[in-house]
Amino acid sequence: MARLWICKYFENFESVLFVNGPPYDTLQMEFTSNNGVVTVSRLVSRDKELLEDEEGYREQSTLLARLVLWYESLCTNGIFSLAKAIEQSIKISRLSKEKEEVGDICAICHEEFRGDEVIGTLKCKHSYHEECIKKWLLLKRTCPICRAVFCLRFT
Amino acid sequence: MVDFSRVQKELQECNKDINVSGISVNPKSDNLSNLIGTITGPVGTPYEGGTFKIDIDLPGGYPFEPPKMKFATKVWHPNISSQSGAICLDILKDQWSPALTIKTALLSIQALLSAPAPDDPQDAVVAQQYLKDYQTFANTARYWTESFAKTSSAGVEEKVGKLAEMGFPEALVRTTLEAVGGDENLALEKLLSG
Ligand SMILES: [Zn+2]
Ligand SMILES: [Zn+2]
Repeated sequence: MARLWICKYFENFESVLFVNGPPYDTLQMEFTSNNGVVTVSRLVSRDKELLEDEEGYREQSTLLARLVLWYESLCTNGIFSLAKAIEQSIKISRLSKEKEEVGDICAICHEEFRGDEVIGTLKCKHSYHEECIKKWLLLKRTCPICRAVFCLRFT
Repeated sequence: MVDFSRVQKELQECNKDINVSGISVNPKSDNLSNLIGTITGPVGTPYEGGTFKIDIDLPGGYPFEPPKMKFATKVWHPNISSQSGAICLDILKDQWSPALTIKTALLSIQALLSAPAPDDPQDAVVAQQYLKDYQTFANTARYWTESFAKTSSAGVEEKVGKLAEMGFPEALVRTTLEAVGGDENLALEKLLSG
């Protein structure tokens, strides 16, 4: 019997719960698996009340358990790493004097971009120092300026 | 480790337009992680004319973690604890972003003074009063502004002096006046019945 907490870290799983599953404060899940095949699974709400008797929830929790196992196998096999996923969600460039961004200020450290610095640009087109935006993305997957949300990719 | 170079820049930037924004930030000592911010009460609110001090502590992770802010000046507001000065504001919690600054946070607090959110209260007593008896709320908030957020509170001192002269202990006079929103007659009634 595996028992785990779905914490804020698993943003994708949270949204699965939110869209299809039981109420949002249901955060604990128990499941039994055999070679990666989930056999029994149930969700327990935060105040320890069992929700297993509710058919719909059971289906969702089984799906969720499979996702968690899949995610964990990707992590342990080194296929997925947060650092790598963050790397892939940033477009790296170097400033050149011709680009108009020279003289702009990084909204995270408040320093001007200088010609020789490495700049990280997110999909929403907001740019920061690569170092600065990486530090933030480790904590939260949003753009500091426009709050656009990023889903990290497993590839 | 707090990014002190950024904090230094923020302080310069913020204090450049004090006259326009009514917002200033200064170090408490020579340590840049403890600051004191001041905001002026918005015009047309019970906080008008007051200057409110806000204690600012920058956590080690700043600007990746939000600054810790609480009112050092006593204030009567549904989203601010009348006891501790704690502030209920999303950008100081999970809605923080490193693109925000100490100044933008103080501006949001100033905006909160203009637009209370009694449905998401920090101080349940104040919030109840705001919803059920707005007039008393406004009087109390105005009196607190008068008593705690103004350097010259001549009006308050006069009332305190008068009632104290009648023989009531000064400390009791002050708390009674605070409780009734500064109404001299109500305070006297309460003191006599007390
Ligand atoms: Zn930067
Ligand atoms: Zn953006």
